[in-house]
Formats: sequence, C-alpha cells, structure tokens
Amino acid sequence: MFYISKRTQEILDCYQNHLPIVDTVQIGFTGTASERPPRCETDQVSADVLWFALNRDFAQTDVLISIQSITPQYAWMISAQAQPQLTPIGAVAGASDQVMPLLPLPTPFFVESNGVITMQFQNSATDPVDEGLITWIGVKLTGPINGGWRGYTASK
Amino acid sequence: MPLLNSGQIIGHYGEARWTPYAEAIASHYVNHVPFYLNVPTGLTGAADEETVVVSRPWKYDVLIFGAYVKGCIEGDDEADMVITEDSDQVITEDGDDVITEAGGGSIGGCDGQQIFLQVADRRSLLPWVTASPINAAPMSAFGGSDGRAMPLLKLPEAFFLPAGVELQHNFSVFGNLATGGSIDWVGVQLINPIGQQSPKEVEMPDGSTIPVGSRIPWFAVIGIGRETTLSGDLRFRFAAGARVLGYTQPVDCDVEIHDISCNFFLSYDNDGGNIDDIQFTLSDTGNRRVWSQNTTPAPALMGDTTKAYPALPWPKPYILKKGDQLELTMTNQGDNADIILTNGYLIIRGVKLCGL
Repeated sequence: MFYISKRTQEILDCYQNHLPIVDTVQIGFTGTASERPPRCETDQVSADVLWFALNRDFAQTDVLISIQSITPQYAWMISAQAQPQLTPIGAVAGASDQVMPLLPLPTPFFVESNGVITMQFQNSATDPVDEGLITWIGVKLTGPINGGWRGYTASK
Repeated sequence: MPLLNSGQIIGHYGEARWTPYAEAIASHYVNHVPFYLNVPTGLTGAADEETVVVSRPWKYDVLIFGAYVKGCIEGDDEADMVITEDSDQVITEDGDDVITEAGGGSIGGCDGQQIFLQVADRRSLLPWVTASPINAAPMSAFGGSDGRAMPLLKLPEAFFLPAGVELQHNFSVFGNLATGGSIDWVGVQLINPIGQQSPKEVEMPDGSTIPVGSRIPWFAVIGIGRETTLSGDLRFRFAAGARVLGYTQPVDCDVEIHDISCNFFLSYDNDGGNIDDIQFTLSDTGNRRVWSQNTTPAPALMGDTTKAYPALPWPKPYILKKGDQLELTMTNQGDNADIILTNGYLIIRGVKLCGL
C-alpha cells in the first residue's frame, strides 16, 4: 500500500531504527455548523518522524482542513479563490467506514524531532461533527546515522 | 530488456504514482512537501453553464499526481413516489403519516460524472482533453470522490507545473444543473532545486533524455451511442440493440495509453440497466494487428467512480502512433427498449509524449 520512493528510502537510510508511530489528535468540534475550532497539532515526538497517511473517525465529506508544518515550516494547501477555501477532508484523510480507511500522503513527510504539524478544521455546514479525531500514521526514526537526515537544510 | 518509461508497477492503489519521470524530476530538489490545490467550479445552477477558473500561481515547482473531485448535479424534479412490488404492504403504526416531499428535486450524483472539465497550463496552453466531441471530459475522469472505493484518482503520469504558472480550468454542464463543487489537485511541492535551477531535462529508464514537461496528460473522450440534440442540449443516446462505431481524435504525436474510465455504471444501473450489456470491441486504425474478436462487457475494459480503479489500467501501456486513432465498436446487448444509456462517455487516458 505504501510506496517507498527514492527520497523516502534516502531518509530511512539515515537511521538505524524505523518504528511504527500512531498519533490520534482531538479536533475539538462542538457540533456547531461551519465552526472553526482552535488549531490543533500533532504531539511532539522525541525523534524524527516520517508521516505516511491519515484517517478520520467521521464520514462527513464537507469538513474542511488546512495543514501547515512547523519545523520544517511549510504550507500544504492553496486555493484558487480570492477568499481562500480550505481543502475537503476527503482529499486528505481516509474515513473509517470506507474500504480505504487510511489515505496515503502524496509523499511521506519528514518532521524533525519535537516538530509538529498544525491543522485548522472547519466543520460541516449541513451535518456538523461533534468532537472528531484525526489520526496520523508514520514511522519514528531513531538511531540517527551522522545526525540523521537534514535535507531541508542540506545544500549540494 | 529495458524498464518501462511508464514505471514497472501498473496501477498503484492509493498513493502517488512515482514513475521514473517523476522520480527523475524530484531527485533534482532537496525538499518535497505535500501539496493540495483547491479549485472551485464556480457553477451557479444555470442551464448549459460554462465557467473558467484559473488557479493561483505557486512559488515552488509542483508535481501533480492526481485529484479529488466533488460535483453534484440536480436530479429530476418529480414528485416523490412510494414504489412497491405486487402484493407488498406498506406497514405503519396507527395514526402514522407516510411523509414524502412534494415536487422535491433529488441529487443526481455528486461524483462529477456529468460536470465536464478541460485543463491547460498557462505556459504551454496545451489542452489535456482532445477537442472531439465536447472539448472536455467528465470530472470523474480526473479525480476520485469521497465515499467511493478510491477517493483519489491518479493521473497516468505526474504533471510538472512550474513555479509561477497557473492552471486554467473550463467547467461546463450539458442539460444538467450544478451548483458549486470543486476539484482538489494533490501533489508534491519541489523546493530548493539543486544548483538553484529547475531541471530542464531528465533521463528515462531506456537511456533517452527528455525535456521536463514533455509528458503531459492526454484524455480522449468518446460519446457512447448516437449524438443528438434535445431542446438544444447535446445528448448521446444508446438504446437497446444499437450498434455504433466511435473513434478517438487523431493524435498529433505519439501517445502512451494507460487506462480507460467511464461515467455511466452508476446511472445505468440506477435506471435498471445491466452494465454488462454495454459491450465494446477495440482496434487501432494504424495497426490492424491490434483488434479484438468478440465484444467485451464494459466493466472488463473500463473503470468508473464506484470501482477501486476508477480508471481501469491496461496490463501494459500501449503506444498509439501519431496520426492514428483508436476505433471502438459499441453494442448495447440489452433488450428493454425503455432503458436508454444517456450521456455516457468513456475516457481513454494516457500520456502525450510531445508536451514541450
């Protein structure tokens, strides 16, 4: 299911140990239509992590999401509208009631130790979610070789 | 034997298709970051509407791998009916009302099967969809949708969108009404090019060197059945017992054909039809050694949004040579004259080998 590209293999080769990691984050919906709860974020991890895929525990398709990473700092989403619209959750995370409960990212994303990924959600306008969980699936990278992978600051 | 330029693994399920071309481009950059581009259709529910939406240019080069679509059309506006078979009873408790909507409209489908899209980047202006017959393809041929087996549909080849270049989208509807909806392109941002310059050429598995941007998506659309107009609206109608020939537009350079998608499995099934009755034979006008002897049911040749592969891949990509066409003989083996396949399209998807 997960494809290890050359870049992903390059990252994995910089660490002695590759351990599974699962991080479930509470979104904080209160059941209000179109609400935007405060940003939530993945937990800080004491090692570098490669995140591979996402799952959500609700079926509503008109929940929206915007993702930004911290360390390294990148925005993931843009919109063609003058009034930016967040991205439908169905393009980003699998749903538990679907045949594909995990949706892989277009490329595994590397986060340095203690870095986080922040998420801004907008609730469904028609069938609001109460509470809501989003789960990140990845590989924890321990035993760095020569300091581990630092591609984001590398120069060749 | 050389590796395939299209990649040795045909039809990944679920994740980006890292073809040799995509890998070769990405290897020229230090950082890869996920990328999602939301493009609304701008449709407002008017009849025979067409909109043009241009995406914002992005500051980094991007490889686009696939898309997720959302596009609802309004269904027929009839009064609700409670349908029972002979001798059935509708049982309620004393005093209960059976409530139906009066004259309400029903949603005709939200997977983009009847909203049409043409795409071109604003640098080359090369359209992805062939001009014939409608200069567009159903949105469901570009992206998967939520609630279906495959929420994301991958392009036959990753599309390289240079920094600062916009994507132009032409959305249209024929005879249906649609409001809102969007396509979300999914890909990878390519950051910090090695040598401070985006690559101009990459090496392929067969040893050839090709320009970056020379492999672009190719969508050839064939309407299923006879083309007619009804109250000024374009229709393709395929009645039981009918047999029709269809052709792709002649290609202006070699095309690597990967898979076939269609937009009618769900609607034909809802109308009471059997999708196995819609059958095809296939041949290449430029290579008469490519032909099929017997007709083949549609699900064995093509995918649709309800399937794990919304575009069903061929076992190995096939090169359609410049100037040639694919010829399809379509037959409807159904025997119910009241069930007519309307506005069905099949979309042959591939990679045009002369983008730039």
